[in-house]
Amino acid sequence: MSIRRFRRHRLAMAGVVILFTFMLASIFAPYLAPYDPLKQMVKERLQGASFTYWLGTDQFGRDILSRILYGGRLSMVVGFISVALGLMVGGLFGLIAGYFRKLDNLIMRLMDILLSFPSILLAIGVMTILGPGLFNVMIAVGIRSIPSYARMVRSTVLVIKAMPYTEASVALGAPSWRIMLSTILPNSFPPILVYSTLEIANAILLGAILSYLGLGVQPPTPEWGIMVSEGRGWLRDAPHISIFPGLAIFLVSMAFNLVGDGLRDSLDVRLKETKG
Amino acid sequence: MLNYILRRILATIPVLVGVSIIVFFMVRLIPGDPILILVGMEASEEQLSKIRKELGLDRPIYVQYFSYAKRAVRGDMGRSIHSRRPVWDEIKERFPATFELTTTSILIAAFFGIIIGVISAVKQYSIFDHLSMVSALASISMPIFLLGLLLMWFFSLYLTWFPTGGRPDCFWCIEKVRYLTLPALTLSGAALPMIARLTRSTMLEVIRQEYIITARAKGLAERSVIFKHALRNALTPVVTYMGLQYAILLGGAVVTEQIFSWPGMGRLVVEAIQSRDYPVIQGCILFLAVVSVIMNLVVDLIYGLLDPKIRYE
Repeated sequence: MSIRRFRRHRLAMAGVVILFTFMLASIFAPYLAPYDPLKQMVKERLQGASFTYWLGTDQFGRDILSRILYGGRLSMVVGFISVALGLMVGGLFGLIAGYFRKLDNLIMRLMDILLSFPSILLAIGVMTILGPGLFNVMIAVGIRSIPSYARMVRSTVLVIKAMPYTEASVALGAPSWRIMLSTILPNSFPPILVYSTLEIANAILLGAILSYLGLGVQPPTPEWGIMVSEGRGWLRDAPHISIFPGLAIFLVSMAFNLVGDGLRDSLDVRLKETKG
Repeated sequence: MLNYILRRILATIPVLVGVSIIVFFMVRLIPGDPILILVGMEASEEQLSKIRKELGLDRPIYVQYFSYAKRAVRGDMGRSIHSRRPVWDEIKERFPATFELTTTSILIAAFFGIIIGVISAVKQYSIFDHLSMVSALASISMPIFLLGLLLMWFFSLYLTWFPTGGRPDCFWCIEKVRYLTLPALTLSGAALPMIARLTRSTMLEVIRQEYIITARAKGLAERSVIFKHALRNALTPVVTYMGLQYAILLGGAVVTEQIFSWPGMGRLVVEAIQSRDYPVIQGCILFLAVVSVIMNLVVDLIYGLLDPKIRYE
């Protein structure tokens, strides 16, 4: 039923198509990329879009299309891994806070403290401690989403805990860990799926921002944020250097948002926090 | 009301303490000896232990935290490694620019967002309504640096209407408006459509209420029904959202200031990170986090003022 509703959601399907295109293009980048993304062809620098270089070349004469194809891998990896990290840690906190009410106040106040940092600043702080690098970007972006996951999972747990089937498990004498893992967790899946899809879009944006600021992945790695940043100085003469990778970030992030919205509508999830 | 204000202020204190603890440990978690970073690799062991003693780094960690917190409350956040000036002086110098940018952005976002939201609600399912929904969707997916660069490319480099960056020294002059326009538009880019969508959805709820029907039945002019009766009640959640947005804008300012060479705190943070100026990074993050906590407090207080139900919860 939900799947049928999702398939009828036109915008969500458009999102799926964009995502699949980018994912396949990134996975098969070595076969699809017309040039080596790191190869500098000095004589061909600052070329506009043409049949030879579909999206033009940058100031070092590197092919922008090839760099975007390879860069997609990094952005997707940052999106998925950082969200998985945030989900695992934040979800665990939320599960514990919602289930063991004695720990609720302590955990949620800790989450409030983390939430009080503007997310870019928190990520910058974490990057300062960890230093630049792809893995560190994932950690910095992931930490930022821990408190929101904790809040969301907690509120879902509170609702599911009050359901008759959970009460039945308690009455049957099932241990807490089993109730959490086999009753509460599977039933929290729909809101988690919706939220994670939307969160991947944010994670990709934040990952790109960190690289844009020079704190994330370092040049000459083909990463979309770095590519936009490197093209800044050539905005007047060769705006395509910044604009094409920027558009790639925009399209992928929008696709995740469209799919997330579609999932929310078809799974009938309301991402609203319950007070408790 | 006084009881509500006191409760909210008291609830903010543990958050502020938590924020200061995190920022305090942030620098201590950086691999390597912070003293070596402060004085350079060439210092002798004798010099190092002398400085450690001077800075109190030989004392237990909780004592160090309390002395740090005590100094931070007085505005003493140490000295910049790079410029040797007190961090507080650097912040005082740079924050007005950030405040100017974020406040202008939130005002632009609120003004246009509310107007667009009201029109979308009144003309639901019209082309205008659909367009505003599409732009909201696009705006949350738009990387802030792409929007900034596109605006700069079109308005500064192509049309040459606005400068590409910088900030004039005058307090308030026409010249400043020219310099502020593009960064403020960039920063408000994400908040504006979201405020419009929120205003639209709360307005749609409110205009179906019975008191609005009564207002219309009394024969009041449509403008008066919408702006005096409906909008006032629809604005409460919008005000809260604006407060939350302000904190997000403080983060977004880091990127916007970088694009437009706006000499605010965001640029200070990025410069400090590039030169590994840890006291400045620590001071800036602490300051901006405290500002965002205080903003949330102010919003909660305004919320209580606007909606009496909140005060008695």
